[in-house]
Order: sequence, then structure tokens, then C-alpha cells
Amino acid sequence: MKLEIRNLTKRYGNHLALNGFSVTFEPGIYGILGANGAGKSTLMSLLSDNLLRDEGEILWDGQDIVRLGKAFRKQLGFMPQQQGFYEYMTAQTFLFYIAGLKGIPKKQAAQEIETLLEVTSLSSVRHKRMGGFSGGMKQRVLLAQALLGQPGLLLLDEPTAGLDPKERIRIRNFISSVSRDRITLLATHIVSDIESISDQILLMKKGKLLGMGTPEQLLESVADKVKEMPCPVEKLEAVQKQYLVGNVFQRQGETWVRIIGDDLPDEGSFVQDRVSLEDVYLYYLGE
Amino acid sequence: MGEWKKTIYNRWLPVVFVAAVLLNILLFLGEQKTEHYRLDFSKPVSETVETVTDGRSNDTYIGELSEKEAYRHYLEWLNRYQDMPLQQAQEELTDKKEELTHMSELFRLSEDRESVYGKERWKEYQSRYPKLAQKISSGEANEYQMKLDYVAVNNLLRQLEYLTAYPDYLQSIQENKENMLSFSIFNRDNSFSKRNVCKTADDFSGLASVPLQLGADGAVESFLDFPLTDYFLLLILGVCSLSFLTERKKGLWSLIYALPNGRFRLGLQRLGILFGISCVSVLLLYGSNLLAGFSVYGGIHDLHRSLQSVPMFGNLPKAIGIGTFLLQYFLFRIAAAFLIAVLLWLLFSLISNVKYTLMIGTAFLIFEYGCYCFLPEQSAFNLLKYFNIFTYIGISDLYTHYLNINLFGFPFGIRQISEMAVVPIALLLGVGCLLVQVYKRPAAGKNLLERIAYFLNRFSDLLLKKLHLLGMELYKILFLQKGFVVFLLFLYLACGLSHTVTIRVTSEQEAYEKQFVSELSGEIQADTFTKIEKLQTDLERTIAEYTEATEKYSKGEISFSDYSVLAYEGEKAQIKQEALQKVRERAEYLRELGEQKHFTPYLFDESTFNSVYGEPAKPNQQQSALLAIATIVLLLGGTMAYERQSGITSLLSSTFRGRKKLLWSKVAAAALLTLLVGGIVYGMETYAFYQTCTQDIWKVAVQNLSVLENFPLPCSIQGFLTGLFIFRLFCLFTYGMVVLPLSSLVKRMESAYLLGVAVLVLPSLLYHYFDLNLFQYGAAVLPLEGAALFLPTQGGITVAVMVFMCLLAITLFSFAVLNKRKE
Repeated sequence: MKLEIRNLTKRYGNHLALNGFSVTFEPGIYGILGANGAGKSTLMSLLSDNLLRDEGEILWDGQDIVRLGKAFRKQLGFMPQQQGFYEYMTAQTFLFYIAGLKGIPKKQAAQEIETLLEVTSLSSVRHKRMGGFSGGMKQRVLLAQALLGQPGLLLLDEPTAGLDPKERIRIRNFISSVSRDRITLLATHIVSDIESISDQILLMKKGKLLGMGTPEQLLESVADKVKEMPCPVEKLEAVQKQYLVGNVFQRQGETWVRIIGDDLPDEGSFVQDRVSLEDVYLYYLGE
Repeated sequence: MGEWKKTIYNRWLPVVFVAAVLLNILLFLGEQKTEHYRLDFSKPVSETVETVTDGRSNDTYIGELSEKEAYRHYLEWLNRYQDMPLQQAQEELTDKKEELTHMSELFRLSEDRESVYGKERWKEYQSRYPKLAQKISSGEANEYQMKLDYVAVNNLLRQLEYLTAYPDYLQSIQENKENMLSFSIFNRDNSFSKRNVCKTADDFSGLASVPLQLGADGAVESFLDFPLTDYFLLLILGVCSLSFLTERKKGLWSLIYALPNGRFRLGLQRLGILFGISCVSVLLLYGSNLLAGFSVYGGIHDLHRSLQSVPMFGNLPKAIGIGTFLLQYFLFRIAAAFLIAVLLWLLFSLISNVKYTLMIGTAFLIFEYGCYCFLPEQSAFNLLKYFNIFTYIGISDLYTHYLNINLFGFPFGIRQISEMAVVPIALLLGVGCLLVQVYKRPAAGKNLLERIAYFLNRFSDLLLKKLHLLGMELYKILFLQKGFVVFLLFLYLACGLSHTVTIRVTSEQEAYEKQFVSELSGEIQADTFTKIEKLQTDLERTIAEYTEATEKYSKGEISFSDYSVLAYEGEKAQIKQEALQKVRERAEYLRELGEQKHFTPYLFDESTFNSVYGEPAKPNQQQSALLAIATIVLLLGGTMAYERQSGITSLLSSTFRGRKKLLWSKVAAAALLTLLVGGIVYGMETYAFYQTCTQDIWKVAVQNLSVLENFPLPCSIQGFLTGLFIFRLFCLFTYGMVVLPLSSLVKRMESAYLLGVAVLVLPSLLYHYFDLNLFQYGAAVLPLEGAALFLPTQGGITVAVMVFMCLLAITLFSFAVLNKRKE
């Protein structure tokens, strides 16, 4: 099972949404980290064949996904960013409908839906119309439908958007548990979502792939790029103008700042063993 | 001011308001035309009509006179007699009517003066009414003018009969009281019956001295007799009330509720808005009707007359003038409109979940309408019938019917109760609305409706999970997109369609032709012509007897009474002979045509076919087609737009079957619904034909029909009608396929409906109902009329065009869906 992206490019008029994007995915969880407008959703749309590319190739097990057509989509589970629903449908009916569209036999669909409703804690509201669902419930329904049919490729676009921390933890743990033996791409700008579950993280900025690696590798790469130092309040503004400040906090009655970058001040101390993915994010994408 | 602005700029309200006002006035004016300007166009009863086959089977002047001109003429006559005492006017007009009746008879006889029998009758009438006969002979009298005069006089007399009889009617109420009280059953003390009898007499006793006057009643009567305006008003008020729920739909309720002015003050503003909308709507809707009525019927200067001068108000025991009544009516209307608006707002705002609002609102209106229409006038459920929203919607009945209801043994006039109760009830409801606005919290817990809905959804989900793609598409169209409402409305309107017209004979000869055809109906064989010969012989004998009798009469050998019988029969025989000749020619023509084109010639009455499928039935065909097309647009218009509006297109298209398979499911669902709609409309039409025709003509070759003698395909009438039925279904299917790509062009369902109406419905409306020929080429109704197929060249072109359109539509739709990617 392999998904290859070669030199993928997509333009919207003069705006280059994706610029020569190339990467290969094998089974595992891949977090795609980027700010708003980095091209994550464009990438997801191209991978789900909802958008025509301008240049490049997308190959699934060596074959172009457009040429594969239905055969590729049979392997695909897609959770779009936009919460689109038939608000007058119940959760159960919606899942059966999607199962029908995925070509899953009714008996198998009934079993899978039963399991998924249980796992996503939607059993008690299965007969409720989705128009009355909270944001978190809608996300869980979307996730459940993406998992129908045991897809080999799971595309999750901002799966935890708008969720509270408890729900976010639940969703990402669930994603982690169901993502063995499949390729899972998780596009988000929320660092904590992928920090704990991704095998590899891709960093995207302005349509380009800036870097890719395991969380440990990425953390290692910024180990000497993060410093903390005390900063009087009256100098804070000047420091923020001069350096990329990741955090302003209080320690023992003093104001401290956490600075990330190549050019660091002489004061302060490196935080090598305490660097986080947030620092990685800011270092690579924070400008 | 903000809430006013927000309400007025609401997407739907201005559109609905303007559309309602415009449609209302157009339909009102159209209705006056349909009702022949409320005039009775009956012809005078003829003294000399002898037989049914006289040929004058039209007993009104409709079609012979310009109705508008007739009304103007009526007004001229009214002006002459308006200020005259009623008795005197009645006497003079009665004499005039008699004179006009005689003149009508003389005109009729004067056309027949050439025949001997006609000549004798003319002489007889001439001696009876020499002056009138002289006017006709000299050309001084004009028949058209006479008809206009008759209509005017007849209608004035009808009014005068009511006016002069009204005092007797009032007297009869008093006498009735005495009579009824003489029966013990009505005379029991403290009984409702006794009190009702006495109250009725008392109420009407006050009218004894009310002066009655002749006048133009049309404006006031038409103003109160147009119930459609009431429903336009209800629509506007409903849309306005619903607009207050926008914040709930957009999830802003809790935000607004938390603001300092977001409760009581907002509630007051909204009450003010409802009152303002009520005033404006009533003034525009009803005011425009009244003004239109005055412009059509006149009578604006007669408003000082007592109300009972208008027959419609004969049962209203209120001694006031028409002008005063209209003022009171408008005030009551505004109050009633405000009451309705506030009631609707209260109902809608009590329902926390916006999704259920329309459903509950509709269920409420249906329940109220059921109680209003079907409960008996006096029953234990009086309160449900009369304390009913529809009492305040259709208030005209309060003024045209006198009714007391039994409340705890006492009679109360329903009109008085309604009038007295409107303001207190409206205020009470207003207070209720304010309380809800202030105290109903957005974040309140689960409510009963949700629980009921959840319970019911269990059962629907059991069914829905068994559906395949096609079933789900039908479910989406009919239930998620509320297509079932459109379908129910379609069924209601389809039941009211008329599929047949009465084809009247226009002459005596035509009537005899029909009679002969009926007698000789059947396959044209040698036997047919033998029968014709026999009939011919009989007629010739009658004519010969007539000729002989004429000679004898001229010599004085026989009396006029003996001669007149033979003369009458003879003259009829001459007309019959001409009719029989026409029938013979037709039979011979069909025989020849049959030999040329190899079909069995058959003689039969074609009027049954023409009454359903022919030129006279064209308006019916247009209506049926328009209804079918409009239904298809409204059923299918949202098919693609709904997916985009729901934001689900990318998800669907990423699935295994979410492209071609889904596409074909949508096409199949559209096809099924289209065929169902077409099947119902044209099935009813075919059934109407089946009921009117004789069974044997189904098998007759279609070329036996005059309009279809050049039809290129050899088939029976049954075969042709089957083909026509299939072709029409195909046309409707094509239109359904046109609607689908149109739907994929837009992002909202409302836009899709408007686009569909603009492309498929509007050109037909403009062409057929407003006679704008430019839109002929876009009129979707034309191919469905069927007449297009009757002409060989045009029929072929029509079929080819429709096939091309269908293929193009499916191709466009497929292209649009399969290749469309998210922008």
C-alpha cells in the first residue's frame, strides 16, 4: 500500500496553492502541519479527487488515482473540513446512506455502523436529526462515515476543529487506534493533535513542503534554536519586535520569554530537552 | 429602527409581499372577467322554441356580447333609474323587459321569414306587436343593442326584486317569530331556541325604517367575494412571523437574548412591526381590490346608501351606510390581521427547535381549518369552530351570514363576538408573545417535541436503512427537500383540472348532422349508403308532401293549421336533407381515403374526441401541461442545489458510488417522479375521454378523424392515444432532465426553483396568458398540447426537437456532475 505524490501543483488564478509538492506515504499516521492557507485542504481535495491538479501525479500503488477512478475511491475514507450534512437526516440514516455510496453490503454496513456508533459514543443519539447535533457530535459522525468500509487511505481534514480538549483527545486517540495498516493523513494546524499520535509530520508553508520527519527528528532539529530568558515588561515590546517570541510567562515573580529562531540573544538559556512541536511549528512556519 | 430594517431586508419578506400584492390584483381582475362582471347574461325565454334541435342550445348571451360593454350599458341604465322610487322603477323596467322579450322573439322570427312557416309566425307576431315589428323592419331597432338593453334591464330587475321584497322579508322574520313561539318546543322559558328566535327578530326589527336604494353593487360584492386575498394576507403574515426566528436558525438566539435590549424591548419592536405589516398588507391587498372594483364596476359615489341595499348584506342587521361599513371592515381587518400575525408568532416562538416550526405551524393550520369547515354550525364544539384563526382569516362570512351560536343557553351573534373579541385576544396574544420573548431561555433543556421526534425517527430509520441509492434519492427529494408538499398540492390542483369542454352546435343543420352520424355510426360499408338512401327517400317524401300542401293551401283547399304542421316538417326536412348530404359526403370521403391509405373507414361523432384533444380543448390542455411542468420544476429543482447547499458535494464525490452511480440514481429518481406526475395528469385526461366516448371507437383507425386524416402511421385511436400519452411522458421526462443541470448551476434551492420557473414555466405563461408571441419558441407547454403532433410535418419536427433536447440535457447534466470539481 503506497501513496506517491510527485511534483503536485495547483493554481487558483495567480495564486499558487500547491507548489511542486512531492512525498511518498506508506502505512502509518502522517500529520500535515501548516498555518491557514498553507495548502492543506487543497492537498486533501486533490487526494480525494475533488479537485483537478494542474501538474504532477498522484499514484496509488503505482497507478494514477484519476485513472483508477472508482477503484481508488473504494479505498478512500474522507473527512472534509466543512461540516456538510443533510440536517434532517438522522445519524444512523446518514451512515447507511454513505455506506450505500461506498458500495458496502447492507449486512456488513449494519455491523460496521453499530460498531462505529458505539466507538464514537453516538449510539444514544443515532435517531436524532443531525441538524440538532453539537459541533463535536457532527465531527464524530463525519469521522465515523470516513471509517466505513475499512478504507486503506484515510484523509482527515481538521478533524478536531471546534472541539473541546476532552473531545479532541478522544478523537485523536480513536484515530490512533484505527490507523494501523492504513495510511492516515491528518491535516491540521493544531500541534497537540498530531504531536502524540503521528509517525511522521509534514510541515507545509505556502503550498510547499518545508520538511518531513518523525516528531523526534523535528524536535532534534530545533534543539539549539529555542531559548528562555527573563524580560522586563518595559522591554517586552522591543523583544517581540526583534525576535520570534513563542511564549511569555511568569516565573518566580519575573516575566520570561521563550524565543525561537536562528538568531538568538546572548542572554538566557537553551531549552534543549524541553523543546516542543509548538517550537518546531513556530521555527519553520511562524514567520 | 434596526429591527424594522432587518425584517424588511429579510430575503423572503419583500419578495413574497410584492409577489402577493401583484398576483392578488391580477387574479382579482381576472376573476371579474371570469365571472362576467357579475352580470346575468341569460337570454329571454322564447315562446316559439319547439324542439331541442332548434340549434339555439346556448341560452345566454355569453359569446354574443362584449361583457365589458354590457356592464357599461348596465351602468347607463342604472343612472336612469337610480333616483326613482323602487316600485316605480320596477314597474317601468318590468314593462321594458317584456318589450325586449318580444323584440328578441321578433328578431329571431325575422331571420326565418323566408320560409312559409316562418312567414306565418312573423305575421302573427307582427299583428300582436306592430310598433316593435315596424322598428325591426325599418332597421331602427338593432339586435345587438337590444341584447345589451335586455341584459341591463334584467340585471336591474333582479336587484329591484330583492330591494322591493326586502321589507316583506323583514316582516316575515317578525311573523316567523310569532309563529315559532306558538309552538311549545320553541316557547320553553330559558331555552336557547326561544331566546334565539326573539333575538333574531329584535336584531332585524331595527332595519324596518332603513331606506333602500338601487346602485352599483359590483365593487363591494366583488371586494368581499374574493377569498384568495385572505390567503395572500396569511402568507405575508406567516413569512413575517417566521422572519423573527432567523436568529434561532443562525444560532444567534443566545447572543441576542443576553443583550440588554434583546428581550422585552425587542419583543415590543416586533409587535410594532407585526402591527405595521398588518396595516400595510391589509391596505394594499384589500385596498387595491376595492379600488380595482370601483374602477371596474363604478359605485364610488353610492357609498351613502344603506348597507342592506346590497343583496349580499341582506342578512346583516346593522343600520349603517356602505361607506361606514367599509371603514369598519378595514379597521376590523387590520385588527384581525394583527391577531393572526401575533398568534403565528406566539406559536412559532413557543417551539424551541426551529426545524419543527413550519411543521407544527402547518399542522395547527390544518387542524384549525378542519374545525372551521367540518364542524356543524351548532355543536358541542362551537368554540373550536368559531374561536378559530380562520374566522379571522375569512371574515367576509361574518357579514354575509347571520348566525347566533349557543353559549351556555344564550344566543350570541358570531359576528359581534368576533368583533368584540379581536382586540382583547390580540392584546392577550401580544402579551403572551412578550412573555415568551422575555422568559423563554435559549439554552433550556430537551423538550417534548424532541423526544417525540426521536421516538418517531426510530421507525423511519428502520425503513430508510433498507433503501438503496434510488430509494434514498427519492427520500431526499420528497422529504428532505419537502417535495411531498409540492406533490400534495399538485394532487389537489390536478383533481380540479377540467379535461373536457362542451362543444355546442352552432346551427340546426349541425345538430341534424350529429343526429345522423349517431344513427349511422359504425364501419362504412354498402349497408351504410343503403341506410342513407332510405333516409334520403323519407326526407324527399316529406318535402314532396310539403310542396303539395303549399299548393293546396295557396288554393285554399286546406286550413292553415293543417298546412302549418306539414310546412314545419317540410322546412325541417330541407335542413335535414342538407345535413344528410354532408354526412354522405363525409362517408364517401372516408371510404375513398380508406381505400387509398388502407384503413377501415368508420363513421362516428368526432366531438367526443375534440372535446378532450381538439382545438376547443386547448385551454384545458395548456392548464394541464402548465401544472405538470410547474410540479416537475418544484419537485426536481432542488435536486443538485440541495447537495451544494448542504455542503456535502465533496464528501459524496469522494465515495465509490458518489459519481456516476449517484448521478444515474438522481436521473432515475427524476424520471420516476416525472412519469408519476405525467401519468396522473394525462391518465386523468385519458380517463375523461374514456368516460365520454363509446367503447367501439377505440379500435377505429385514427385517420377517420378529420384532424388526423394525414397521420402517417397506421394505428387505431387507442394506439394513437397511447403514443400521445408516451410522447407526453417523454416530453415531461425531458423537462425533468433540463431541470437537473439547471439545479447544478446554483448553490441554493430557492435560486434553483426560480431558475427552473424562469426557463420552463414563465415563457409558457407569457405566451398563453398574456399573448406575447415572442415567447412562443420557449413555451414548454406547446409540445405537450398534443396538437403539434396532429400535423405531419410539425409533428415530426416536434418529436425530433424533443429527442435532441432530452439527449442534450442528459449530456449536459452528466458533464456538469462528473467533471465538476470543487472550486
